[in-house]
Amino acid sequence: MNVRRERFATWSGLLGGLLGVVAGFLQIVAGTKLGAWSGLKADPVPLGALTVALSGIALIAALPRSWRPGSGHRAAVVAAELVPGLVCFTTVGRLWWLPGVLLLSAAAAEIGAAPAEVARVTRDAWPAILTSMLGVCLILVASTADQPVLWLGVGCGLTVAAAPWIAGRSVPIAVGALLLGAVLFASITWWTAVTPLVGVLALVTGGVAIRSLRRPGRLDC
Amino acid sequence: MKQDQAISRRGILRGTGIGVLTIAVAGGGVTSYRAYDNRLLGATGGDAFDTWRHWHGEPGPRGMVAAAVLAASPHNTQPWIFHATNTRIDLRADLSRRMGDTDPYGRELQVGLGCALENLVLAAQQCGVEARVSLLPDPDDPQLVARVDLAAGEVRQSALYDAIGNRHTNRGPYTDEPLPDGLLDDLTALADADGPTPIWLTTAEARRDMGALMVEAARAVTADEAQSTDGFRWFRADSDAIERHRDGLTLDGQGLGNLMTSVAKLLPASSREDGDAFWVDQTRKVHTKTATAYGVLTVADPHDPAQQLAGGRLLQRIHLAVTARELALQHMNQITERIDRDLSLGRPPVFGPRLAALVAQPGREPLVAFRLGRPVRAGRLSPRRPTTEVMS
Repeated sequence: MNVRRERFATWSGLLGGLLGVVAGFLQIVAGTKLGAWSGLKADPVPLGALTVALSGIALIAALPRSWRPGSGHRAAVVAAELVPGLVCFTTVGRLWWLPGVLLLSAAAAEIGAAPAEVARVTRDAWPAILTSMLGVCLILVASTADQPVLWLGVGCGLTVAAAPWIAGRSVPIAVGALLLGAVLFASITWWTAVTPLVGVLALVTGGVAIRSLRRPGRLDC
Repeated sequence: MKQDQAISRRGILRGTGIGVLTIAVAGGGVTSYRAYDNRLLGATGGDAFDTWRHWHGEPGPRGMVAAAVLAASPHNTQPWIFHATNTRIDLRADLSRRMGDTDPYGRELQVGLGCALENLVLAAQQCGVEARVSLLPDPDDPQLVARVDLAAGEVRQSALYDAIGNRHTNRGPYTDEPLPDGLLDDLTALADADGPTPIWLTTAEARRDMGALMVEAARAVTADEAQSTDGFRWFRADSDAIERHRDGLTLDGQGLGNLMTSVAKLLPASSREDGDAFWVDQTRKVHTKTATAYGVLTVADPHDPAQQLAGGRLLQRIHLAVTARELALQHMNQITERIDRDLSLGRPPVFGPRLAALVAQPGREPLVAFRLGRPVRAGRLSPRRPTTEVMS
C-alpha cells in the first residue's frame, strides 16, 4: 500500500513540478496576453520566475530515490511540494490549477505513506518550520519592490528560512544568519511596519528553533 | 509524581508558547500577504504607472498624447479621448467620466481637458511641430473640445515640457519657508492677455480666511451624500483596483508619510464616511495649515467652456512652472464644487460671495483654486490609462 502511495507521490510530484515550471515560463513570456488564465498580474515576469523556482524545487524533491527515505527527508519532500503547491495559486492564476492540485496530491500521498513519521518530524521541527515560513513572508513582501531592494529582500528571506536548519552543523553561523536576514531587510524597510514585525517574529521563532535543533540526532535526516 | 507534574507543566507551557508563536506567525503571514497584495514596496511599479516611465520615448502624435495623459484632472478621472492623425489631434470629452453632483456643470472636467491640451501643445513644440489650437471648433459637437492642427515648425525647448514627468499633485505638508522672490510674478506672467488671471492670497489674514473657507467647504461636501458618493467613486483603495481602473485617487497620493501610508494600506479599506472624515481632517490639519500661498484663477464667466479650457491650460502651465522650481501645488476644488452644487439645486449661494470677497476682482469670478509651498516630501505618481486606451 505504501509503495503504491510513494509511486503515486513521485509521479504526481514530477508531473506537477514539470507543469509548474511550464506555467511559470508561460507567465514570464506571455503573462500579459493570457488574461484571466494567468491571473491578470501586474508583474508577470517576477511572479513567473518565482513560480519556475518553486516548481523546480518541487520537481527536484519529487525525483525518484533508490533508498528508503528517512522521516526528515520525507517531511522535507512534503514541504517542498506543499509550499509551492499553495503559494503558486497566487502567482500564475488558472495556469496553476492542474500543477497545484498535482503537487498537493503528491504531498498528501507522501504524508499518507508514513503519517506518524511526518507528524513527529513536523512537531519536533515546528519552530524551524515557522521560521522558514517567515522567511517566505519576507520574500513575498519584497517581491513587488524595485531592484536592488527586491534582491536584498529575497536574499534576507532565504537566509532567515535557512538559518534554523543549519543549527545542527554550526550554531554561531545559524544565529548570525538569522540576525543578518531578520534585521538587515527590516531596518532598510522599517517604514513598511510589516518587515520589522516579521523580523522580530523570525528572531523569536528562530531562537527557539536553533535551541531545539542544535542537539544532534534530533532529526533523522 | 512531582517530576511527572513538572514535565506536564513544562509540556503545557511549551505547547502554549508554540501555539502563541504559531498564531503570531499566521498573523504575520496574513499581514505579509496584504503588504504584497497592496504593494507596500514598489507601489508605483505596476502597469498603471507605465506612462510615467515611457512617455518620453513615444514618437509623433502618440508622444504628444502620452504627454497629455500625464496632465492634472479632477480626482484623476482623465476625462479625455484623443483622435490622432499625423496632421491633426482632436481632443474630446469623455462624458462617461463626469463626476456627477461633485461637478454638476462639468467645470472641473473642462479644466482638466484644458490641462491635457496644454501638455499636448508643449510636447508638439518640443519635437518641432507647430500646434494650432481651435477651442470648441464645432458648435454642433460640444464634446469635441479642441482641434489641434499639426504642421512643421521650430523646435521649442521648454522647462515646462521637461517638468511634465515630475508634476504631481502634492497633498502632503509644506514647510514654512517662504516662496522664492519673484515666483508669483513669474507665474502671473504665464497668463495670456485677456484670458484667465491668477490671484494670489499670501498674507496671513487672507490665508487664514481662505483656509477656513476651504475647511467649511470640505465639511459641506462630505455632509452632502450625493457629492460625497460621487467623489468616493473615484477612490482606488488597493492595487487591484488601481491596475483595473488606472485612474482615480490612491492612498499613495494622499501625501502621508511612508509609515502612515503603509499602515493605511495594511488596514481594511476605509468606508466612504471614514474617507470623508480623513479628508476633512487633512484639510484642516495639513492642507490649509501648511499652505504658503493660495492661488485662484479668475475668469469673466466660470461656466463658459472656452474660458474653462483656457483656465485649465494656464493652471497646467502654473503647475509645471512650480514643479520646475521643485515646489509643490495642490488643487483644492471644494469651494467651487459647493458653489456649483448650490447653483444646481437652486439654493442661495453660501460660498460664492465669500470667495468673491476674498479674491476681490470686480467683473471676474473664481474658476479654480490651489495652494502652493515647499514640500516636506515629494508628491507621488498617480495611475494613468495608457495611450492605447485613450486614443480612438
